[in-house]
Amino acid sequence: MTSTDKLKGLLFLPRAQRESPEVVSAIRQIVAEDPEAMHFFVRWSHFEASLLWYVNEFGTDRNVVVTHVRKEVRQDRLIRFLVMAASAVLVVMIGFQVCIFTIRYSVSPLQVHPIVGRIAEVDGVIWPESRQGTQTLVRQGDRFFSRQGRFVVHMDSGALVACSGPVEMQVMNSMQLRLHDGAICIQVPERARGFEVQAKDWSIVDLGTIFGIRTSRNGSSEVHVMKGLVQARSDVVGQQEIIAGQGAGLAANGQITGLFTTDPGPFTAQLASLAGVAGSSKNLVVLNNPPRSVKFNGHVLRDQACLFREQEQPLPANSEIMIFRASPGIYSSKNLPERTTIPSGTMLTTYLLHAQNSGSGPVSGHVTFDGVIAGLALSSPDLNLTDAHFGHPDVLYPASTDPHFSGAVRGTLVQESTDFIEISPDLKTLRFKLSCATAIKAFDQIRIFVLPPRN
Amino acid sequence: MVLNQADAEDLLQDVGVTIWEKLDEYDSSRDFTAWACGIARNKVLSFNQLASHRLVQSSDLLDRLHAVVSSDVKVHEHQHQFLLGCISRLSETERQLLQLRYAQESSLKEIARDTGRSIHALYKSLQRVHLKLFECVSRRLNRWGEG
Repeated sequence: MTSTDKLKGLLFLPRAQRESPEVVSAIRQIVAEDPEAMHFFVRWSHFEASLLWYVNEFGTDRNVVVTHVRKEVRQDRLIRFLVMAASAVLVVMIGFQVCIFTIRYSVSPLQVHPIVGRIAEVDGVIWPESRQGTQTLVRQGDRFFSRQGRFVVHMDSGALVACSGPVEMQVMNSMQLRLHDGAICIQVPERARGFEVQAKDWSIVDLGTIFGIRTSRNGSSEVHVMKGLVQARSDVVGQQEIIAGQGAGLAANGQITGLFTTDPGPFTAQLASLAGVAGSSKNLVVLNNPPRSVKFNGHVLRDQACLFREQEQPLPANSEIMIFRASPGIYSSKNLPERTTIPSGTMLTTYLLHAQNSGSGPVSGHVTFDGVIAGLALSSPDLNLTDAHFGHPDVLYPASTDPHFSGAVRGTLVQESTDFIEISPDLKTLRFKLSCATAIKAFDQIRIFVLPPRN
Repeated sequence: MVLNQADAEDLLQDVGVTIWEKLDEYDSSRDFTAWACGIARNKVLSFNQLASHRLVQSSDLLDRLHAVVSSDVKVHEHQHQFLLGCISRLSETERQLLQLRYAQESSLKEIARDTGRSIHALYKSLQRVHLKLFECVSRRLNRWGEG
């Protein structure tokens, strides 16, 4: 505020106030100190003197003034009333909206952020955001950022998203997610056909498959199809189909940089997660796709064993099975595990551990599952009996009628004194040492029955 | 030079009487206006020094004010003329309010009491009329200055 403004304020005061010593002193000080204010003061004094000169010539009609003031009072009251009424209406409207929102949120929170999946098989994950550490339900729009470790998102649509290592992604809905950084593997059942992964300017649409996609922050991506078919879409190239065994480089500008043979290497951990395997030793190969045959000479490895997932289904009614119980401990031909009966209705996932070694020594290693091991089929009769129900439909298994199988011992421990297995205290890890050297046909197999993971 | 209308009227009367009394001492070879202003100056100074609530306490401030008044004589003359034109553009009610402000302040208090409106609010109304007039006069003065 300038000195002139201050002076104006003082000169406009009611006469009694304006002539008080304090106000006069303030006016004097302003006028003495500021030449501009002094000019204004002189002009105002003349203005007021002139005004006085003129107004004394007017007649006074008190009624006119009273009427005017009353009118102003009415106007003021009306304005005040309108402002208060408007404020009240506004407060009521806001309150109403808050109530509606609160009711909607409390009655139907799913409409705000529908749950579209859950997180399971969490192993060694470091979440930078503590909220995610305790979160098991996945809501629409949730963003996940893990520095390390692995976890699997079970989408309500049926799709499984296996994540390992540093990953940043956002779940858009049960059929769509956006990958910002890292590598993930997706397994899509038939009912979730059309599941979409967005990466930068690309959209990868599943057509019934298992595929991996990795994206870096610079915008480039790679998609590797392990099984089935996907469609890569961008505004630049339109649609490009990528089949099983094929991979494609996807540039940030929407161009395809090249097609190549699938390399499952970067997705090993994610693929194992999809199979329900938490970890394994180097000399145990976890197969993404089952071998065509596990007959003698059907799948031969050197100094290695292999493991593949066969089935996940409940034991049918009236069809209890008797196998070896999985209890913590070390077992051999002289110390076999106890026999146990698994009741019908039990949900089981089966894996076949197969070792036909072309090398000279035994094959040893370990495998850890996400679920608890319920039992083992260790003997040839147990394996033969459970092939039909728990075997993979696309795999050829040895059978007693098979001429190549004659005289061979398919299982382990039983009749094989040099083999041994160990089950960990948490019942999740199986260690093995298989000689693969008994009788004429030197191969060993174990069918592992695993209960679903608790989380 | 003074803020109170009654004081101004007293002073004017006092200056007139003094000029009349000292007219014999006036040297006709000198400027009469300057002689009369000198008398008025001394009167204002002695009048204001009598009470601390009066505006001009020092001869220095009085001289500076006098210098400003003298330099803007033409402006003040035009301001006086323009004011009449601006007043004619006011409504009757606004003119009545001004009249009450300058001639019958007691009536203003009565009106405030009769209408239930505070004296402060009435002064606000008056302030608006004052500003309206002052801005009208200032605009006309600016146009005159530019012309």
